[in-house]
Amino acid sequence: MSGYWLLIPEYLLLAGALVSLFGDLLPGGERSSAILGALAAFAAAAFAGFIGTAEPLFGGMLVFDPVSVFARVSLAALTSVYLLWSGGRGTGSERSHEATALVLLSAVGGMLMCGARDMVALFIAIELSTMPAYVLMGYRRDDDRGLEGTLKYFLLSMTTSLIMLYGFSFLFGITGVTGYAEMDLTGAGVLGVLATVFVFVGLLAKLSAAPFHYWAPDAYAGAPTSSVAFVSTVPKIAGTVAMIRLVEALSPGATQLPLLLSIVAVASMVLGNLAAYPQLDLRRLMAYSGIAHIGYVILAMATNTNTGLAAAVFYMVAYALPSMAVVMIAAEEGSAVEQLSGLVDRRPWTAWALVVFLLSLVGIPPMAGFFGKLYLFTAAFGAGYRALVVLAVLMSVVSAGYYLRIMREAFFGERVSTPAVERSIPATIALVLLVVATLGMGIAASPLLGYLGVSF
Amino acid sequence: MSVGPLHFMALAAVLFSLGLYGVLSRKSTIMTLMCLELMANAVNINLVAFSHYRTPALMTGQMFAVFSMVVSAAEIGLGLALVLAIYRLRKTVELDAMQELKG
Amino acid sequence: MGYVLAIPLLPAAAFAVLAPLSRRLRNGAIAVSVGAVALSFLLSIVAFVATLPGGHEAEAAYHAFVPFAHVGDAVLGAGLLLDPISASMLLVVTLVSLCVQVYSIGYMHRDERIGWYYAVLSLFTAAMLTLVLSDNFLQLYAAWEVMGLCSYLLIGFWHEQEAPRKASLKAFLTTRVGDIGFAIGLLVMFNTAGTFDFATVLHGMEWAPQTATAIALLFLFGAMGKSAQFPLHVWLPDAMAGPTPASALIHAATMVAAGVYLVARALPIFEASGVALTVTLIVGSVTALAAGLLASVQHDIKKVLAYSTISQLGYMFVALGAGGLVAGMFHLVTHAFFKSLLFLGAGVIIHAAHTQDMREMGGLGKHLKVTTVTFTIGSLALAGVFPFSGFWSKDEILTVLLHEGHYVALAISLLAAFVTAYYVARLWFRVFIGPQQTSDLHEAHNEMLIPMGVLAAVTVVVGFASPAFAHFLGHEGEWPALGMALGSSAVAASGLLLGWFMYGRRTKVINTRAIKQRVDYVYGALVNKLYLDLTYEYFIVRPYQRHAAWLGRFDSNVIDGVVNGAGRSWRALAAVGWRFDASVVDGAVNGLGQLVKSAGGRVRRLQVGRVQTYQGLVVGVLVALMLWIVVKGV
Repeated sequence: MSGYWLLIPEYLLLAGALVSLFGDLLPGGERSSAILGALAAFAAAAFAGFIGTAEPLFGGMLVFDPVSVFARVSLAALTSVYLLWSGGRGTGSERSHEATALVLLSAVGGMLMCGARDMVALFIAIELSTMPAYVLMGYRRDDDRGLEGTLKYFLLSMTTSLIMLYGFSFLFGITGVTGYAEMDLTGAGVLGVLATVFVFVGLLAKLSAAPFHYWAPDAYAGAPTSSVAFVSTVPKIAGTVAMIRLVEALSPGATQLPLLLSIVAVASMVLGNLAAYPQLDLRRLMAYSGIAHIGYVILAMATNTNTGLAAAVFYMVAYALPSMAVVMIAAEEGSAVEQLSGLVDRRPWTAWALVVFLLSLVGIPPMAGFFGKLYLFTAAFGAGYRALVVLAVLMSVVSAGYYLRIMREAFFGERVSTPAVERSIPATIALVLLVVATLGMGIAASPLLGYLGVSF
Repeated sequence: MSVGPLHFMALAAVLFSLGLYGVLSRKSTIMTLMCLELMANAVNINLVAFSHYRTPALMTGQMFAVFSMVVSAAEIGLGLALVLAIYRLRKTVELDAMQELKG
Repeated sequence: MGYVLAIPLLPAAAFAVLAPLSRRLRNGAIAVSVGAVALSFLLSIVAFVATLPGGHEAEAAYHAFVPFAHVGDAVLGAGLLLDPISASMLLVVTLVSLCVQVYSIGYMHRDERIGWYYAVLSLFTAAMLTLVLSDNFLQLYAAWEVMGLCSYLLIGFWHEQEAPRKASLKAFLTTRVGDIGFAIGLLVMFNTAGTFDFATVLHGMEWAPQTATAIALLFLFGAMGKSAQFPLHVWLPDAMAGPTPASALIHAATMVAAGVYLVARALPIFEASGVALTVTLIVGSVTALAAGLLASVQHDIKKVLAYSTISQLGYMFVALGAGGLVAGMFHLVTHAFFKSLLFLGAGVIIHAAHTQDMREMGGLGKHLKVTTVTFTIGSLALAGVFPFSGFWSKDEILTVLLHEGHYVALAISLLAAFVTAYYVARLWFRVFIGPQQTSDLHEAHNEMLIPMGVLAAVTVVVGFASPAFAHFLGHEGEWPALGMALGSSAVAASGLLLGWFMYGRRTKVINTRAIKQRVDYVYGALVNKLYLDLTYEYFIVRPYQRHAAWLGRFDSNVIDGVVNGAGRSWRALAAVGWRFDASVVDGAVNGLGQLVKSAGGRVRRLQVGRVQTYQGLVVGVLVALMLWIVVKGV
């Protein structure tokens, strides 16, 4: 079959993963394997962007529409930045070349998820993206808290994924097909709606949306912070795209879907923001704030309009950038909020970068987060979800409270003399890239959304 | 008695519920893993049965079931490795012993 | 006219240079920051001259626009708009900022983080200049938020202490509450008009009254937070925990006026609504009077000035609510000068007396000659005494109220003017007259006195620009009518007289450090004013007591105050207001953070740590969903 070349980005990532597995043999060891992986991921991003949109592959199993291209490019690019940073850190005992391979494999799964318009393809892609994530989370085998968090992640994730699979089996039974294109749930009655609910429970749990979020805070709080930076951001982009496609495919038959999604959105926004407020560990705080941000994204999905769905993807990427960066800084400085104190003295530029990231997460112009929220709220407002938008704005005020606390600690906290972190050029480049992207995405918001086929 | 799709669905539903119940109630991590496997098999029965009755010529469902088996085998393997690692450190696989992380 | 761009850009560049280097530069930081703002000031004068002779606000002298986002047909971007309103604001902001920065050289010279201080002042100045030069509401909002951040940073500048830390968070949260209104208002505006541009939104379209009302009220809510209007005013008195010069710049002259500026800019929308104007008028009058009363029971000199600021901002809202754009803007301008002057003077006084408590001051007049003269000029301007600037702008507001027939608001404003004059006198007599309580009084350095002199000079002359200013904004300008001038002067004079009667007359200021002593003092006053007491007892205190008993909320302190009333009965009223303010409104704001925290704590408890509980909760939700679907059907 022609068209296999469309998957070159995935091949590149796979090749990177295979090579980095033999990182021991490379000159420079782990560091060079991570840098090599970063290069592979960068090439994948560039290639995915270069290919652009194309005809579907495998009879519609994988599509290459603008949403898919946008998500694939940003996913591969973020992976590349992450590997660049982790290659720069190179703190041997904690990371090694296997981590690089796992990150790349998980990215392959994510890339496939972005294009999947078929239940079988989606299922395989989800599993391919999740399984390396388990290993990344439980990477330190001598840390029983990390393993405990991973076990919780694993058990909850597997249960919900089987619930989703059970839903898939009914969808297949009702429609007789696995591709979304011919899937028609109209007239399927209660069973169709039930199957849809099963599927969405599984997906929502992957995205850590309340009330299916329970794994996230515990798993993140136990895991190595550097793994959290990847697992809490990149797979969520792919998950968002997967969910958008299912919303589009299943909405005609499952009439209760918007209501279900708005309930989940409200629960996530409220629970995430409130629970994040008193947290003292940055990983846990970012887990809850991630729940809150997913709430906003799901609010946009509930509209099931083109504008809403495009805004959801855009917002997810706009959230992933600064969120990854904040967790990276936490990985360098220590994961307790108070360990950030005096950051402005130790590393003034990092402290200011942190301000950019946090302000973007709060949603202050001209950062990406502001435009993400602007488009997202406008779409939801236009679709009639006015009360929910007001609630979302209120909740983002609450979020300002805890993000501000981080900032205050970095600038005004009691000066603690923590050993200066070894600075490396690749890690610095990675942070700079994230700052530029966080600012640039805000400015490029409207052409990007235009590419996604939406003009506000 | 002729066996129809409904019977398979019922069997699968019972197996799935049993598995879910086990996941929620078993104390040992090994037992929960086995119950997860039960749920996976319920799904496979569903898939194969639907395939047989809905698309006998295409075998889409059977293919799906094969993929699902492979994936769940891999997952269970990973889970067991995790349990072993935890056992090495804590000398227990009781789920109730895993409550250090909370809040 | 591209130099207009440099006006906000210079302080912004100063910030960019200083922020990372703040710890290494000390004198360099001062030079960079002051130099930048001085250049901005010069350019502002040039820009101001370029807009002469003024005209209607729709005619802009300069307009540049850089698009950076397309939203459908709408173009979002950054723009600079130089028209008479922004030109006059430019002058005010840059001049006050320059004075404050020069003053800070002396005031902050011992602080080791002076570089950081100047960095934030520069950022603030840049944001404020961007705000007044905005040509659309979105950019205005962005600058507005940056200013909020600067305010937060400066209030909490001495973060080693508890009070500034708390105050900074309170200020940020309270203003954010207002900002929600602003943000939602922007959303509604964009949904209706499809643009944020002043040109389209303000002059280019017909607003449906309901939409206009919604937007105007939401904007007003934002403005109330920023400009500390009742009941969102609680943060401003606490904000005095920051460095005094920063209070002068941000919490007196410029940032708090941004709310007034927003309403003034959006006035066409308010006028399309009608209802919103009335609400503005009510909010303004309530604030003007209530804050004035509160100011007159404070003992902390900075708090008196803070409440006075709230009250004066209330005046501006009153003017805007009556449709008096010129009067409101003119009061904004004059107030910016004389209030920053007062704050800078208060800084010198606090340095000299080593306390902020007015009860521990006294007799400063003999030692601080320059400060006394400049502070007196500021005080008289605040009290509205001819020929100082406050007199002219206050008269203009009163005239507008009279012309538009808002007699209730007029009465309240006159009463507020009376109260203002009273507390000004109280402050002045307590600080400058009476026995000296601190030794070692010394006048400040020249770099602190010169800015005060400049501001005092401006305060003396700027009032005479009243008709010219109106003409500059494109309106008919007149001198105040003689009757109104005499009436308001009489009110101011009687307020000052009352203040003198209570605080200035005595040869000896009684030291009221403790509550017990204060009660003694109250009895002493009772003996002196027995005749008045009987009158008040019958007409005010008795009904008041009945009222109080009925409410059952008066405690003995307040009733004592009332019994010992005379000129004090409304002081008691103010005390009630103060208590309400301190317990209910403050509590609400402080409580909000607490509420979120405790709610957060409760939500946390869901995360028990036991994986099977988690799974049970997930399955429980799933089962509930299934039941709901089965019962409800498709």
